[in-house]
Amino acid sequence: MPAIALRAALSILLYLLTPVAFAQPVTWNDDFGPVTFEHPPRRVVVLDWGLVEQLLAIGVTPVGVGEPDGYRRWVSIPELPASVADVGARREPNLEAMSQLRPDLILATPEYTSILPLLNAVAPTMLLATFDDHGQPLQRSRHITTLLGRMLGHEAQADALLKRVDKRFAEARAALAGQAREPLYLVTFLDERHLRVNGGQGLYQAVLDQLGLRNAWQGPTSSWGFATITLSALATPADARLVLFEPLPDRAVLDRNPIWKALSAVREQRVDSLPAVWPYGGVSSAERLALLLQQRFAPSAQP
Amino acid sequence: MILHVINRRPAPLLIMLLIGAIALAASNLATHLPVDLWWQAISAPQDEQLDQLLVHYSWLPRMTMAWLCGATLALTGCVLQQALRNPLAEPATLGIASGAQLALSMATLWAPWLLVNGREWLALAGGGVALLLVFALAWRKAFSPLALILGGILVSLYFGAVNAGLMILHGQELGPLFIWGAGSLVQQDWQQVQFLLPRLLPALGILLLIRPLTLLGLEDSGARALGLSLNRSRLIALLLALWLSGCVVASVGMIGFIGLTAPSLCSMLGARRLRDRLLWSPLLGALLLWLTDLLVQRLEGFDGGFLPTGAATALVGAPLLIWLVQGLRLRGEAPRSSDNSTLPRHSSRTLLLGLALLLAATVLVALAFGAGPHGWTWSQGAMLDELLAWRAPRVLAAIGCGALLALAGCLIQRLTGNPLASPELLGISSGAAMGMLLALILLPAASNGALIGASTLGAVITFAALLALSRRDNFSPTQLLLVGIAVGALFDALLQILLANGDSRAQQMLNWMAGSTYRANEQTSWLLGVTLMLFGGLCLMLHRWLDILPLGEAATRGFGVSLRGSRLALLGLSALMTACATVVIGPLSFIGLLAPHLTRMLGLVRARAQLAGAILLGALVMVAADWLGRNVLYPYQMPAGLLAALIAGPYLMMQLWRR
Repeated sequence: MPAIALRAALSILLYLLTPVAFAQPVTWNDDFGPVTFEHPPRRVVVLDWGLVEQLLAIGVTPVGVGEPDGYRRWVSIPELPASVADVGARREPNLEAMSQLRPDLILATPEYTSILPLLNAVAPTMLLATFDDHGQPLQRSRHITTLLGRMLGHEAQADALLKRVDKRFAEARAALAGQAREPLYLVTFLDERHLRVNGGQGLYQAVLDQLGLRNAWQGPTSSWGFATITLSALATPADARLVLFEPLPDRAVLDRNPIWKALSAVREQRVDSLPAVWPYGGVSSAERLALLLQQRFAPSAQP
Repeated sequence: MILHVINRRPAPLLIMLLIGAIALAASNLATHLPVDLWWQAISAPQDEQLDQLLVHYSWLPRMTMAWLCGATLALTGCVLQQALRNPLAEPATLGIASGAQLALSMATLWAPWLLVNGREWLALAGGGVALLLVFALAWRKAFSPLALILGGILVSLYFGAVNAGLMILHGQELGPLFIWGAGSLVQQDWQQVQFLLPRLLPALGILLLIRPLTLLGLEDSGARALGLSLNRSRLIALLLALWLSGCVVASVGMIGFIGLTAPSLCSMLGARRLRDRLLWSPLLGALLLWLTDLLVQRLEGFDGGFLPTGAATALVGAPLLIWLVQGLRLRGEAPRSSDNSTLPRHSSRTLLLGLALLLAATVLVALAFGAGPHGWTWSQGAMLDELLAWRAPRVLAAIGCGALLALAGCLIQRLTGNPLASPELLGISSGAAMGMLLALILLPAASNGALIGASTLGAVITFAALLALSRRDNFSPTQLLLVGIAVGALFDALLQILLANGDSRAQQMLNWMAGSTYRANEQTSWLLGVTLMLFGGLCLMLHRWLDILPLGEAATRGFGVSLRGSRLALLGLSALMTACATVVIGPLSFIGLLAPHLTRMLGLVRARAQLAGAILLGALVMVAADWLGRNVLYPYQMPAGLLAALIAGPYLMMQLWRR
C-alpha cells in the first residue's frame, strides 16, 4: 500500500511539474485525414485570409498571419490585432519566421499541398478548404468553425457564432420575403471593361440561397465562385438588379459608356453599391453580406 | 492601274481567310441579333434595344479594333523588319510591349492618378524607353540583326523580371493589369477607336518612306553609294513604328506575333518587294487578328472562362514562328566569342582558389547571418542549428542550380560560338516551366514529385524539338535562339491566360517561375549534388571538344572531331543540366548567361579553367542572390532567380553595349 501511495504521490507531483508530458496526444481530421498533435494546439499560424477570418470570428487570435496588411485592407472584418506577427507572403510563407513563433498548429488550404512537408516541419499543419469542387462553402465553413472551436477550446464561441449567423440568415430571409425581388448581379469592377461576377459555387451564391434571393448570373464560375465577364453579359435578364461592390469605377467613365447606360438595370435605376465583402471567406463574411443585403433591400425590417 | 505593278500572290490566301472570317462573323452576329435588324443596329441603333446597342457599341468596335490593331501591328512589323533588316523585328521582340507593361504596373502601384487620363502615354513612354535601351545596346553593332534581337530579348526578359517581382509583392493590386497584359479586345463604345484612329494617321507617312526603306533593305554599303542618308530615314521609320505600336499597345495591351507572322507569311507567299509587303501585310494582319478574335469569342461562350485575344494570338503565333524559323536565314551570323587569349593564363589556379574561398565565405554568411524578428543577427549555437535546418537546403540548392546553369551556359556558348547564348534564351527553361504549368492545371494538388517529373518532361520535349527542328542546319545558333523565343512566348501565353482568369495556380507559378529555392529540401540537395558531380565531371572530361568547337567547323573537322556527334552530346548534356536546375529554381535567372561570361572576363579562357570558374561563380552569384532574396524584405522573400536576374541584367546589358 505505501508503495502504491508513494507512486501515486509521485505521479501527481510529476503531473503538476510537467503537465505537457502527461497530456495525451490529440488527433483531429483535416480534409485529407488525421493530424496528430502532442498537446492541444494553442499557438496558431494562419496562411489563408479566409481561415484568418474564420479563426478571428470565434475569438482566437493567431500568433502569425501571411500578409496581415493585405488582410486588413481586403478582408478587414473581423479586425486583426496589431500584435499578430507577419510571416511573409501567403504563397511562400517564411519558414524561419514561422518557426521562431513556435506555433503548434498551421492552418492552410489544400492549395498548400505542394509545400505541406515544409509546413509540417514547422508545426503540424491542417489543410481546410472552404471552397472545393462540391461548392458548399457555407457548410464547409460551418464544419471548419466547429472544428476550430473544438480544437482550440473555443467551442462555445463557435456555437454562438453559428447560431448568430443562422439567426441573421433567418431574419434577413424573413425581412426580404414577401417582396417581389428581381434577380441580382453581384459584381466587382476590375477595370472599365472587365468585371468579376459572383455566383456558382461561391460564398455570395450561398448567401443568396440562404436569403431566398435569386442570382442573375447563371453562367459557370471558377471553384472560388467568380467569372470574369464584360459589361454586355449583364444585359439579360432584363429585370436584373446590379449590386456593385467597392471599389467602384470612375462614375464619369461609366456614365459615358453607352452599353452601361443602356443596361435595363441602369436605365431603370436598379443599381446599388455595397462595401466590399471578402468573397473567399467563411460564415463571418457571409453574415456580413447577408446584413448588407438586408439593410439595402429591406431597410424597414432593421433589427 | 497600279494593280499590275503589285504582286498578287498572297491574294488567294487572303480571300480564303476573308471568306472564313466573314462566315464566322456572320454566325457570331446572328447569335446577337436577327439578320433583318443588322443594318439598323449598325447604322442607327435604337436607344431602348440593348442587343442593337451591343452590336453597335461592343461588337462593331471590337471588330474595328481587331482590324486596326492587326493592320497596324503588321505594318509596324513590316517597317521594323525592313528598317532594321531583321526578319524578326516586331513590337514584342524589340521589348516595346514589356516596357509598356512595366510602366503601367509601376504607375498602378505608385502613381495611380497617372492612369486616369494618361494610360496611353505611360505605355508609350515605357515602350519608348525599352526600345531606346534595345537600340542603345545594338548601336555599336550598327543595328546588326542579331544584336538587336538579343538586345530585345534581354530587355524583355529584364523588364519582365522586374514586373514579375512587382506582381509577386503586389499581386492583389495588380490583378486587373493581368487582363491588359494579356491583350483584350473587348470594347464598350467607340472611344478606343476614336483614340486610335487619328493617331494612326502618321502611318500614311510610310508612303514617303518606301524608296529609302527599299534601299535600306540593301547592304549598307550599297545604299550609301546611292547617296542616301541612311540613319536618318531609318530613324524616322523607327520612330514611326514606335509611335504606331505604342498606340496599339496602349489601347488594347499586348498582342504578340501579328507583327511577326503577317509580314513573314506575305513574303513566304511571294510578296518579296517591300511595296508588296507594305500592301499585303496590313491586310493579312487585320484578317489574322480578326479571325483569332472571332475564334476567341466563340470559345468564350463555352466554359465561361475569359480568353484574352493577345494571349490567343501568341498561342497560335508561337508555333507558327517555330515553323517559320526553319526556312529563315538571318543576315549576319551570331557574333563569335571575342578572343581573350592574350590575357595571362598562369594565374588561373590562384584565381580559382580565390573564387573558391570567396564562395566559402559567402556560404558562411548566407548560413549564419540574416534578418530575423529582432533585426539582423549572427546566429550561433542552438539558434544556428535550428536555422540551419531552413537555410542549409536553400543554400545548397542555390549552389547546385547556379553551378549547373553556369555549366550549361558554358557548354552552349562554346557550342554555338556565341557568348550571348544561354539555357534561358534557348527556351529549355521555358519548356520545363511549361511542363510544370500543365501539370498544375491537369493534376489538381499534384505532388512535388509529379511536378518535377512534368517539368523534366517539358525540358526534354523542348530539347528534342530543338534538335529535330534545327537538324537540317547543323544546329545553327541563331535558329536555336529563335526557337527558344517562341517556346518562351508560348509558355507566357498560357500563363497570361491563367493570370487573367485569376487562377490561383498561376500565382503559384509566378513564384516558382521567378526562381525560388523555397521548395528545396534534402532530396533536391542530393539530386542537385549528384547531378552536379556527374555532369560537371563529364563536362571537364569533354574539355577538349569545348576548346576546339569555338574555332569553327573546319578546324573542328581538322582535329578529327565529329561535328554533329560532339554538338549533339554537348547539347544534350546542357539540356539535362538546365532541366535539373530549372525544376528547382525556375526558368529565369540569367546565371547561365552571366557566369561563363564573367569567367572569361576574369581571364579563364581555356575550357577546363572556364568550366571550373563558372561552377564557382554561378554558385557564388546564386547564393548571394538567394541570401539577398531571403533577407532584404524580411519576412517577405524574393526568389533567388529573380534577384540574380535583376543583378545580372544590367551587367549583361553593359557587356552587350560595349561589344
